[in-house]
Amino acid sequence: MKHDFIDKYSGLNSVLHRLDPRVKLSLSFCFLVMITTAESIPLFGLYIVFTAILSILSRVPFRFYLKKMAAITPVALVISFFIYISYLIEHGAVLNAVNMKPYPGVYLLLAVMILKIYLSILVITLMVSSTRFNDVLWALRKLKMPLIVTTLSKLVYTYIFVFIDEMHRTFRAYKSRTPVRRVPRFKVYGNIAAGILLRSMERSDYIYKAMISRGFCGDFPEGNTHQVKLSDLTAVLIFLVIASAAGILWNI
Amino acid sequence: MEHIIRIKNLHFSYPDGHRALTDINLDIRKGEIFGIIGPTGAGKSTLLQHLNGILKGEGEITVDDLLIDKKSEKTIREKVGIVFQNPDDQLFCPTVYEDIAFGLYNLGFTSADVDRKISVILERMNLSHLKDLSSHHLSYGEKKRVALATILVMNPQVLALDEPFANLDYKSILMLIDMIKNLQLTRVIISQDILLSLSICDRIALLDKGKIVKCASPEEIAADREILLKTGLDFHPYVDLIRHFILRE
Repeated sequence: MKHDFIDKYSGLNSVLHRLDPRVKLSLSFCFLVMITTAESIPLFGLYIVFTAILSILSRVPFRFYLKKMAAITPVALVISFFIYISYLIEHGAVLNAVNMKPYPGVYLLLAVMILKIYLSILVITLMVSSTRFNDVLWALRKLKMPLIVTTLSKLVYTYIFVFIDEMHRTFRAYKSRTPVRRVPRFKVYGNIAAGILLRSMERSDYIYKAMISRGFCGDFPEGNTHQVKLSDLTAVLIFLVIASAAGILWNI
Repeated sequence: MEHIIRIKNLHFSYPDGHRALTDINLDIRKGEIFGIIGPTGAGKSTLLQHLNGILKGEGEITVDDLLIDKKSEKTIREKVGIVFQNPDDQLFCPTVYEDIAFGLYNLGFTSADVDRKISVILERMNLSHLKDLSSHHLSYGEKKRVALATILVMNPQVLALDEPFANLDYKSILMLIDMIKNLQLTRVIISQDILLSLSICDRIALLDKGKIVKCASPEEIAADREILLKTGLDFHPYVDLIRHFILRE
């Protein structure tokens, strides 16, 4: 069974993959702040070019990014719609919808908002697809994220696979006994959901036992040996150059 | 011979009130292969989980003269390694390497030591080619071997195996038997497969309805047909079938 939807491309060997997770996480966070605070279109031009270069460097197939962007499109549309409506209300245009004048300001606002959403998603996808989940947690720990957060995330990561496993098994059993009739039967689906939950809980209990029998006492061992290298410092330097360029464009 | 595990008057009931173990008394000797056999629901796995303190019943269990309690838990878990029946329950990390490393990091080994120990165990168990794979992508036999490696790498004094031969083909069973026999530590094997248990164990305890009904050498157990019949473990008809149909005796 394949469960690599989280770490699907984190095993690749690219410049981005080789960077220290702490550096990647910190720079991604800074870049996200820069994106969300940006307002001018030339600035977004710079960010788009930079993100596109990073995407190429990551060696992750481009369709993977497209899928993520497509997945976020409904959310982007809903947000854009509400921005559009609130802008029109603010300018009294809704009451006079028949004679609605073009409002160039709202289109710029929408373009900026959509760019922010898609760029942010791209940056997060870049970060996650070029770093193993365990390394992200490790980096969070090193960046002083509370232990409870990282341990819980790790447990969720572990148990989500158990849940998916049980779900596949149950649906296989269901399909094998319903070869023709597949009409929705809510009572059956309810039973299936309950069964999956109970079986997942039982297996999770076994996994927990396996963990404690190997010395687990609430804190996942780090086990990572990442060290900041020259390439990490170079990445920070490049980022500083981009940030300076952004600062110049900001003032234009 | 020196004892490594001593169980005195162990009783255990599950939270729902089901009594799983009643007055268990056992001594397991250092270095021996000790079998615990019994029918389904006899309490074998429950007993096994008491050996490193995962479950705690009434009574007293000592491992290497150390009483199992809250204080000694960590040390006990270093001394007694349990391999669960279903390898999927034992393998929960993204890769085989990380699964094997999990216990070592919990024991406080450095990354360099972990790397070295993992290389040795993978080589020894002929699993080096699986190092970077996800355990979900392995065959059942490979998963079983990796699960065993996750425990052996911690270098325990006692290796407890829950149904190690279940769902394995004959080749894998023979390989596993060979591996178990060659280990230089105390081995506790829980199995429903009486024939395999008789063939590899030095001593066997027969468990039925949460009680030990007999603890003796494999020869004595095999000869006591009355008790085997009573516990539903009489294997003689199968042996007769093999003699008749396959060996044509």
